Amino acid sequence: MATGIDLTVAKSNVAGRITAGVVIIAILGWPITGSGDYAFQIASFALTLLVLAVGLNLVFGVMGYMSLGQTAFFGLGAYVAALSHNAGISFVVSILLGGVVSAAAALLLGFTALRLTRYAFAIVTLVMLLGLGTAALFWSDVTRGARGLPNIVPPPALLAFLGDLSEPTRLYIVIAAVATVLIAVMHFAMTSDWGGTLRLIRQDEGLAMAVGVNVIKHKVIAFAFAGMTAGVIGALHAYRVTFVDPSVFAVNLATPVIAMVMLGGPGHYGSVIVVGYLVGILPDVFRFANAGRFVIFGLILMLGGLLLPEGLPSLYQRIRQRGTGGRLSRVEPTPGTGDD
Amino acid sequence: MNLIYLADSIANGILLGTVYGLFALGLSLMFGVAGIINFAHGDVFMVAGYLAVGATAVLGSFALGVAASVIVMAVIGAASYFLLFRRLQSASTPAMTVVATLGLGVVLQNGALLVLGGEAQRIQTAATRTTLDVGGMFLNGGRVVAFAVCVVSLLILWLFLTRTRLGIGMRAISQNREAAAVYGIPQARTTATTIAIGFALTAIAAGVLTPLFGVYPMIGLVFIIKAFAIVVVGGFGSLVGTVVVGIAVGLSESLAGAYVSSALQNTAAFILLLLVLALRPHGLVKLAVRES
Repeated sequence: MATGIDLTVAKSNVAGRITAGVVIIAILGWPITGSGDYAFQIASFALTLLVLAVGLNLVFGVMGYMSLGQTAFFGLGAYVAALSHNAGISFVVSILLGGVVSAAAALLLGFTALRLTRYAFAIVTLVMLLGLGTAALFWSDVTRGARGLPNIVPPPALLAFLGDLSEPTRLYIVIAAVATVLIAVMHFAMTSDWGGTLRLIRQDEGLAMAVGVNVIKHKVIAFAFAGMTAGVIGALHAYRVTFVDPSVFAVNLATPVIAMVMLGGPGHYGSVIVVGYLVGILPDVFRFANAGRFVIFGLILMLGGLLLPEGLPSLYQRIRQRGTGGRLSRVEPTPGTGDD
Repeated sequence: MNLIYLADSIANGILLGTVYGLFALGLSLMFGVAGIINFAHGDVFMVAGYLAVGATAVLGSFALGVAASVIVMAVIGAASYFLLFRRLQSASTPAMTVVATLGLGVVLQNGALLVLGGEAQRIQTAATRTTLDVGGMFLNGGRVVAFAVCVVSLLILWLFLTRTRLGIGMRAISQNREAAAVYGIPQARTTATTIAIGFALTAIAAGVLTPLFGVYPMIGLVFIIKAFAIVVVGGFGSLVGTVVVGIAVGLSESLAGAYVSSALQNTAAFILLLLVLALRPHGLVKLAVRES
């Protein structure tokens, strides 16, 4: 079937790093060229989704476990931040709390769910997402149900040294800084030897066990780590939109995140970030209506899962293959992700 | 008085739980025979609900409307095997099947929202307006009809699976695909029939529940939690297990709603699933045993 076990750890060269640097500066800087607060809001949300996508890429792309938990931990972080804000806890601490609670939830869930098959794991994470949404809706003593938790405003002194920048701009700077750190750390983790271990787990879990890898430990750590990043960015999201309601647990919020990973190519590093960011901003730049946008995201998932399981990079490879006279071969599904 | 309230809750739970069981059976059969978990199963339910509402309006009779919806959904199910599920079966990994069927669900949800709008559609039937007094218990006529229809459907399904060549073929494939192929069981036809039956069961469940709950674009998400909880706890592919756990989920929802809170009622299926996973991750879950 496929090429056997591939644990290649990408080593980027100097040209690659310069390109990456230019792309990052372009990504982080474009709202400044855009038109006012709206551009900052779009860019903040795109970076938020991108953090979730990179986390999903770690769990799904690198480790091979399809998780709907990323947006569940995102929502959890948002609610934790909102509740702790209302309890009088400070901005920084409530954001850290969002990360800690989400990491703890991921640890607990992962410890049982990651022992199941990949199908059962996906089911459990979807049930968790929908279950948290239902809990947020009906546990109204705490969450105020569908009315949501309003007035989650960041402290007025936030980044006061920047002078008279508008609120969305200041929050964008905070979100961009946090997102850059989170994405960089995850990127480093994925390309490290530890990332190689996770890739081995994706490709052949039995082999990983046979060579002495503590499979469940690595899986749980990766899942909790991704959950923590989702919780932190969720907490920041709560402060940006100043309002949290059960829609943070909507399946529709999970679709762009999965679409980012599917188009960028599950398990790829750079392309998920670049393509993911484009997926994050383009619908807003072209102002697609909401339901129509999600139909498009849904189609991306369907067609991606059916025809292009390795994302746009594999399409590029196939086209190049055809250009050099190579036979157009069907892309093999990612090896070793089967349960049977 | 309190005893009657308890009996009332139990009876209502059993009535509704049977419908859940029937709905989850569609998912369970598809996994058993085709090896595919359809994350859009709840949205198939939603489409069937809209079809039932539409057909009832056209044909002027609720029973005829549901029957028409069941037939149309069975045809769609068979067609979907050749258009979608067969490709997933041969080319995809579990993760990609999850992504593709989830995508299908998202398309159906938002497509329905775009085309039909977000408002719930309802059908009024004579049965839902009737309340039966059974020894002091008050049972909604709609629920009793739903229960009766499901019991009859389950009996027919059981006879089909045990008495007909096609049904036995389905069970053979779910036990051992290769051996079934060696013995000359036609794979494509049998699998297409399975998916058609799965869709038809879903359409029956959607048909009898629409008068009770209405139908709206996102209703599938409410029901897929229950179906997933039921199949994971009850063991994929087990007919009796699925129905029994379906009734258990219906019961626990009904009792939680009657004695604790609506919050617990709506998350009962979710909590049940987490409890089983935490206490017996390998015991009840046939799916989990498949991993070496």
